[in-house]
Amino acid sequence: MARVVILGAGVSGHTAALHLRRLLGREHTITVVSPNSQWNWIPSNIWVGVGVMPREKVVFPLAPVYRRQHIEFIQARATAIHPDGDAERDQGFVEVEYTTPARDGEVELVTYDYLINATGPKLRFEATPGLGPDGGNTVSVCTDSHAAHAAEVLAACIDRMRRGERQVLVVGMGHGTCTCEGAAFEYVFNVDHELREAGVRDKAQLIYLTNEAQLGDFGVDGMTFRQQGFTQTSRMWAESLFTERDVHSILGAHVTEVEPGLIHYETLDGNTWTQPFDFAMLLPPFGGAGLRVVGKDGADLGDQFLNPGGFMKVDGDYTPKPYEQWRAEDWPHTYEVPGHPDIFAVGIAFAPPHPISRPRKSPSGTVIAPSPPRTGMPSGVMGKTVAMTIADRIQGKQAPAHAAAMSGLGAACVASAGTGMLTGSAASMTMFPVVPDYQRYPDSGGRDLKGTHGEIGLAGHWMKLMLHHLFLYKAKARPGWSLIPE
Amino acid sequence: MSEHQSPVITSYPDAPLPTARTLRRRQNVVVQLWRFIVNAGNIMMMVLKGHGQH
Repeated sequence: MARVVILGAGVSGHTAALHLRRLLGREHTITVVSPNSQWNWIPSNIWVGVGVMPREKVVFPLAPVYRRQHIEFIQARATAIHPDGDAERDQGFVEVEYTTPARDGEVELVTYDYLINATGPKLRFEATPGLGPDGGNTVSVCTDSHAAHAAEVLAACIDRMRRGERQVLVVGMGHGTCTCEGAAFEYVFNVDHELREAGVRDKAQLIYLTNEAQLGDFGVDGMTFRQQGFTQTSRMWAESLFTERDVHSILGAHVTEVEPGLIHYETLDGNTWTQPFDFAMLLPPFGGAGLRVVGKDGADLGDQFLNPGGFMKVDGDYTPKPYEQWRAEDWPHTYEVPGHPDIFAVGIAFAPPHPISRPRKSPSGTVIAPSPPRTGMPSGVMGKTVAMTIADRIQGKQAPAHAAAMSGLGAACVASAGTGMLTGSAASMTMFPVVPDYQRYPDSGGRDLKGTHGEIGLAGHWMKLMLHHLFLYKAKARPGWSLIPE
Repeated sequence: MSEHQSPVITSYPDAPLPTARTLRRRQNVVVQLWRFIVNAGNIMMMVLKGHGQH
């Protein structure tokens, strides 16, 4: 009898838990530790953030699903991993701190035979003074509650425009090292769509402020498509959309501080600027969940297990090297922690060996470059992959670990640009692989043109809506859920 | 604040703009139904290719 403990109930952690339960008999215990009582389909938060979808439509309570699936659920925050146990016990365990009102702050030690770290990101609003909705001067769509608040602030802004006031709306990245540019891209075009629907677009200056050096980078070094016999790039495609929709842009920007109504930022050329605003949705940079890793003797093993950002090092090649020497094969394949075949890290929790976009710094040394995305489809596939590896090991199969390297994995990204069954639109993109392999595909931006596509239209909106319903159905573990691919 | 020219880019003059026909095509239900099928197929191919690593 084995116990698998999963830290985090986001896309990768929840996927891993459901598959482990499917693959393993009831004699084995699957335990999920998450500080949140609800599951959130984050890609739809942008619709909550413009007020076209109630927040109840993007969340559901985890406890009933886990009860039905015979998965143990501990609503608590993991604070420390003891991979080799401590002075009193030899088995690995995790320190958790309850977040339920009844047991708030109570600490428990949870032992494991296998551990999956799927803790997701810490939203590091504190990295930029004045950033964020809690005590800061900007809104966010990172959580359902943030998004609901953003919708209220946006509605007030639209009301002011209806009264004839001109407004400046800024959407984008709140720090030079942010990731998830696709989410900000979606949000800016949904705001544009809602302003048009409200008949106030002419009263707004809408600005996309990003750490990307050029539009269409999306933190994946851009994409190359073939369309109607021509090679196109995501840069050209995005520039066309921004020009068509009259969305302005600020590129290569690192936000240094946000005061009420003022965004201070530095650009890649080293200049500093101040942008006034009436409404600003700026995403925070992500950090690791803040887990400590403690040795049997009580020593801090953080340097051995975690990178400086707090993400867990797995089977990637973390040797520092210049951009020209980055290789697709540097990326992890099995997500197993070296020397610890019982510990895995997936989704945002694993440490990427290096960024995907070209690294850039301003003359003053400020890093202004997107961090690599590890969300969505790849995140779910990683969760399933480590679940299969762990199930094999528990069942005594002498099989190698399953692999799901982002350098061999494709991804689909559907970026909404406005809602409505007949008036909506979205940019549908597929890329293969996620991490470009410039040695294998030297003439097509490091990707296979057969698997890399992009187009804008109403069909994209239908696709996004379909994915919303499909993934919520799957996450609720409704009948046939495992037939829906990650 | 810098004395240099504002970094706010208001348009990309070199970017091709969609024609009226392209804009109509993007919202045409029949055309988009076909594109939906094609895109769903592309995503499924991606899924099968990616999951093939197992």
